[in-house]
Amino acid sequence: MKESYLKIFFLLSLCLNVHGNQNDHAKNMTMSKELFRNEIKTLFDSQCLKCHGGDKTKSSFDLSSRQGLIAGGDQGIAVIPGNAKESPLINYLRHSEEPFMPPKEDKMQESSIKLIEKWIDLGAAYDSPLVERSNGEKAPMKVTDEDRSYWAYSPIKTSFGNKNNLDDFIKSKEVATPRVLGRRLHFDLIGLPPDPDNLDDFVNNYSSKNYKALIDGLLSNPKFGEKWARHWLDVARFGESHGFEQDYDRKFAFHYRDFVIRSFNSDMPYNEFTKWQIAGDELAPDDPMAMMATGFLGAGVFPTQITISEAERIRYDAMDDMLGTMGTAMLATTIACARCHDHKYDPIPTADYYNMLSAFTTTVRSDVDIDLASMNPKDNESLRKKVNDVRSKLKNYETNDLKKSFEKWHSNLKKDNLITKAKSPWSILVPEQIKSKGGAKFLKQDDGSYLVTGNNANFDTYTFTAKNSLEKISAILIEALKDDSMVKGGPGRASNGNIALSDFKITADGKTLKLINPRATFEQTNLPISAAIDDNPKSAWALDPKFGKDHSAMFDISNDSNSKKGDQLEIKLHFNNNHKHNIGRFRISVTDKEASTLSIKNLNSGPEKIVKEIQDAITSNSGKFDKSNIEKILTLYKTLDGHWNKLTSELKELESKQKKEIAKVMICSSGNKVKPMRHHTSSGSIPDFYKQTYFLNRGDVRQKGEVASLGFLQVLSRGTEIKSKGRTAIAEWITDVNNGAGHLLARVIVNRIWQHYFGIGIVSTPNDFGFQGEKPNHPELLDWLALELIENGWSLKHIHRLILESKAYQSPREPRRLEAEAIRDNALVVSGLLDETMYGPGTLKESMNRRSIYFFIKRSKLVPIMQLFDWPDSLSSMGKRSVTTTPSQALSFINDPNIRRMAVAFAARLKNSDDPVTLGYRIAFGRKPTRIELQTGINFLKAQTDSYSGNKEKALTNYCGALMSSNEFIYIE
Amino acid sequence: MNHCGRIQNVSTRRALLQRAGGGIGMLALNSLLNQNSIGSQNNSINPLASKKPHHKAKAKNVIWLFINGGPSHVDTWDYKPGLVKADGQKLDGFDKTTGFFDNAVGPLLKSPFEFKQHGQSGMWASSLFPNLSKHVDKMAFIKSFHTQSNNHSPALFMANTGVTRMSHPCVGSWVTYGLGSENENLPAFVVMSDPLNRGLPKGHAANWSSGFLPGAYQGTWVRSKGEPIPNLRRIGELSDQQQRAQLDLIGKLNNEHQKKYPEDKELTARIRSFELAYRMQQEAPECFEVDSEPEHIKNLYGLNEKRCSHFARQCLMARRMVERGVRFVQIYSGGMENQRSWDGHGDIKKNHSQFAGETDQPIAGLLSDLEQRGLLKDTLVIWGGEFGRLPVSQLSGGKPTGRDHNPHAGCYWFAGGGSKGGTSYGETDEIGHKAAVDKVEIHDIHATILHLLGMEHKKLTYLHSGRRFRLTDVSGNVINDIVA
Repeated sequence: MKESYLKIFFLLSLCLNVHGNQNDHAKNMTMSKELFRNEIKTLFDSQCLKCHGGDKTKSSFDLSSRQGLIAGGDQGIAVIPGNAKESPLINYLRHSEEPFMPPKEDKMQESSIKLIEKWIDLGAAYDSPLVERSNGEKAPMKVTDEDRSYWAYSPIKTSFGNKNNLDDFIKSKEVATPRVLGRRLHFDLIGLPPDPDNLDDFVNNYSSKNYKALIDGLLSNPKFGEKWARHWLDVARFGESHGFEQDYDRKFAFHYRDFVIRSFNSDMPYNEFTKWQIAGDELAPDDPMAMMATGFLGAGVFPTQITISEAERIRYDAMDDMLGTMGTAMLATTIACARCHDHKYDPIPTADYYNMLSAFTTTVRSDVDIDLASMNPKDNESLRKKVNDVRSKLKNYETNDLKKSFEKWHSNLKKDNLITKAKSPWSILVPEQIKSKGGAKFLKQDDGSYLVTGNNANFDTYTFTAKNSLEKISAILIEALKDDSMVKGGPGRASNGNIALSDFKITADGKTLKLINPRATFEQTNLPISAAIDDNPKSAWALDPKFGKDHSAMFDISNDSNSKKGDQLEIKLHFNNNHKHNIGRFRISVTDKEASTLSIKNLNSGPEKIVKEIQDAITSNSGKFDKSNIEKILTLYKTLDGHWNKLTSELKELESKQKKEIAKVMICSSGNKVKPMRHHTSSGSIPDFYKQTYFLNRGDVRQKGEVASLGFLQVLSRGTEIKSKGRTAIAEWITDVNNGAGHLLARVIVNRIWQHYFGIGIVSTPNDFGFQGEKPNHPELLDWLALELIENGWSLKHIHRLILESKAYQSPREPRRLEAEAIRDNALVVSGLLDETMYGPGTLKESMNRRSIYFFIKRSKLVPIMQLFDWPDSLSSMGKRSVTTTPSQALSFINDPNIRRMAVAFAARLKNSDDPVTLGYRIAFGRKPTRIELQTGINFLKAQTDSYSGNKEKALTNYCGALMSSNEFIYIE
Repeated sequence: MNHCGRIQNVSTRRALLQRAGGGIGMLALNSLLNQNSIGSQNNSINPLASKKPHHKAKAKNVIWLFINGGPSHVDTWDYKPGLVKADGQKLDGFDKTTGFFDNAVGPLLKSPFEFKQHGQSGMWASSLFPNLSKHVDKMAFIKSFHTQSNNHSPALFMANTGVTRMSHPCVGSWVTYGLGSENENLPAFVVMSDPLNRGLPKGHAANWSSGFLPGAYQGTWVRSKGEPIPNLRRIGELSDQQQRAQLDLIGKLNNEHQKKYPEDKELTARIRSFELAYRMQQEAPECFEVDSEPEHIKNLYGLNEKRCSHFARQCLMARRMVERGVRFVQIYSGGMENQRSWDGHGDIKKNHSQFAGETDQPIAGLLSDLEQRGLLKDTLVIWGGEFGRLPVSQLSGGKPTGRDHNPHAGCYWFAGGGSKGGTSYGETDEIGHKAAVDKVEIHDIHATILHLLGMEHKKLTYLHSGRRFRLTDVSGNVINDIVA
């Protein structure tokens, strides 16, 4: 910037001035220094230093040294030595110019201000700095116990004298009329108008009992969630597109909106609601609601086309958006202001910011498949009934029939000692021939298995031929068995005892049998059993590190390939994956039993092993089975029982059907676990996240400091221990009412609820409880409500009830304009067009008849009618919407085709009435018209009908349009 | 990265200047937070009511010709003989990630256009602007503009809102928040984008978003086809008389309703809003009727020239708007990126010839027309985009014919509205790679716009989420050298 000549002139004259009167200057400075030592020092120490150079350096103004005093701060120059009159500091002190100092306190005494004036006029000299520090560096911010005693950070008061309900805190005498209250409750609780007949009933039978009943009814109405979820979505800066360059849609982001609706309807405890939004993926990964909740973190914008030089900064922006929104939404604390420097006003050192930020290091957005079945119990009622039926049949069979079945089996067993043949579903294949390509030898064992000896080739193939003795083959079993002859007991001949079965193939009379549904008792990482039947000759099934154990794998044979009795079977075992990883002892069995009755579970031990265990259990009980061992025996036996297996597999199949509501859901989780949504760029690769989060000097990624490690806001920690990792730890801290931020969390949410009922919060800055925000106008009440919340299991509905049942709520009030959603939803109800379908994807179509919460929120294309009535921009957390009145809004009421469409439908509801005006008033305003209103309506309709040459419907439409345009329609008392 | 109210790099020099400024500085500091006059946050009753500026305004209206995609300063207004000399050489030490494509950096490339001095002031202009070059004596050039991002949308957001991220209000919204509207029958802030199906600027509507300011300050996007503004046309089923009767009925219902709350200003304002709406519906369409202009005016803008008729139409509409009191008009030249806007990656000569061809005569016509109607003195016309382009070439099919993005340098010009014609402020280095002398950031440009409109950029604030935000964040200095 070029300096203006004028400024140079001033500068020169100032310098001349100072130099011209050197003697006076020295004298003045001495006097000034004296004054400082005797008076000013104490004043500064007691009234200014704490925030300006001591524990804090607010507004970057540091008066601990003369240098800092003269340099000024964010507001510019504060003091001009030698010129108190022109020094803004004096105006701040006199409260004649903002910012008033000291802030939010009484002025200093005039005599003190006069002293400071005199001191400045004399030259503003210091005898020594107020704080000793090296190199004139600013002191790092210290968080003190005094900071912790600030109203928002201090513990909630727990004693409120004699006050034990809301009316004890706020005395209200007057109560609005039942009609007003009925209408008010509907709009406030469900965002929709009452049905006129129901409202009349309420008015005619008004009692405090019925008042409470109405509250209960509305609180349990699912539309309650649709109304109140929208308030939270404002705070969560919820949108369904990435923003920035392409503004791609997030097709699966709506699940987060649905999560909020469901949570509010089910009165999910608010601490859990909070935790899940921060770390649902870590805390309850199997609960679809918890996963959906994490959409909170990812609801903000996300640039999709970036350059390499921006990549790291953009990652920090993304984490900042998550942490910052969490701070604002949940704690009404502007944590993000500490990104580049210690917070200017609140006790949040920049170190706290980065320590918390590190919890989000790997957090990314991802679209994942989630089973939502458990969330829609209604839709699945018939299936659930079937599941329950089979489950009870199974249970019946186990209690009543299994013992009999066992006894029968056992008596057969005694007759026939060939137990494996008798009752195992498997027939062991007896080979006609076994050959090894690599020169191994096969020794037959007593249990039908073969021990492999001789040459252990690098890559061997065993070929096994046998006759099929079954009518058909439905499944085949290969067992890899341990043996002491092998390293670590095998079952493989490799130097570590492992196997690597790369291919397993079977033909019947030369025809390939197709193997499906592979399963095994164990699979080595990346070497699954499915690899043995893929067409890749290198991939394989292996068993590291489970050596020295019996293993088995089975395959079903596809229905479209068949083998009949007498077929020549040829089975090939290929070992092409790894040197010398050939099986050392194996057995092959087949079965004709229904594949679904066979589970890998009873393979774990092998049927004959089970039989042996049963026999052992009997033997050890002197050959008897009685009460003492029957339970154990039956548990072992049931896996061999045909009917039990049938029921079990039936149940499994039904259960698997029940789980078939797989949906894509946008969640946030660790990029190490899920596939991150990607940026795209010109060339090169940009990481989705970085391994570590660093302290950044001035928020600049080029100025990295140490690696940040997990921590919390010190001002909201009282000896808090970090017990968990990552976001879970943050979630625990934020809800911790003993040592963490739980009390503030409660204050913030009860304040939000209060605000939506009364138009203004107890704290009027709902997103900022910090020093720049407003103080609570009723701190005791705020604490009482917060305590009620915590002590009642964090039930938000409890808080709603407390407020709604109070006299304060029932008082007469000035009419308040409805929010955008309620304006449009009201019109949909009145016109009879409302489609009540809940949940699911939203739309951009303005002609949609669902509630407005189901509009798709595309950031570059906000729905015009919503935007017109002060919809939030969905870019940052919005605690309180503005309420504007513009001619464009009026234009939409008179000219918007969609509103006209609603007027047409409204008119259709009136056209057959003898008294359309009265009916219109009842539907639109929940009351009868006055005599004047009635006459005005009749006159209008007559004149308009005439002007349309007798077309009554058009006249009625214009009338309905006017009713919907009127103030009473969108302003609710 | 600076968004929380700290002054960056407070140098002793600047501190001294502020101090030495004495009375002048005090003015700026005085009632820094005083919201009584303009930009009052409690003006929801009638957000667009006209407000008094901080000081006497030199300009009443703004037309910002947004040269979208990144116009090359070294091919338009910033003549660089040093680049001619260095043509074909490799630029030593060049950071390949400066532009968007780090894998297509070629040698230095002199401008394919011829530069000449024009007018009494002798300002340089390239052969791209045969018409506009006749107006250089009206123009105040800024040749040391630089910005923070090498990518379209962050740089567009920066140019419009002062930050590279989404979420802040744009300059047009700030201006209407500060000053309100002069004509309540028309939107106060209007945006026109490319009408030739080449897309919207990157970042779309976020470029004219009111961010955290009330939605009433949002830019009104004028559709190029059909109804220019939504809901301006009466429903077909109603005659004017029938609608008048309907509005009278609404008035009666509302008056009846308000008897209970005679003091309620919001209700009163809403009653009034229907009357305003009615007037808007009567008067606004006339503003868009460009075809009613006489033929010689149409020709002046080039409305009958095929290559520029679309932009001519928008420029002419802009004049009609400011004439009727629209506060802020922004017209985007070009659509999205590459060949669809001034984003000459592949062939700078072809690209800039085309887009200069689309705009040269219309803008020249606009300047002449504003001047002849005496509107130029009240109307600030701005030419500029999100960033400049690099002096090194971008290889396209192996040939050094394109230019990539350059966040380090770019140029702007102001005309009319109290700007000082025939001046030039700031310089780039010898080859036009980086701003070098009297560097200007977008906050300075914003501060200067507000200054010309009679506003102190430090005083125009809005309290949001615990912070008093302003358009110029914590920076911004009025460029006094280009103020008349």
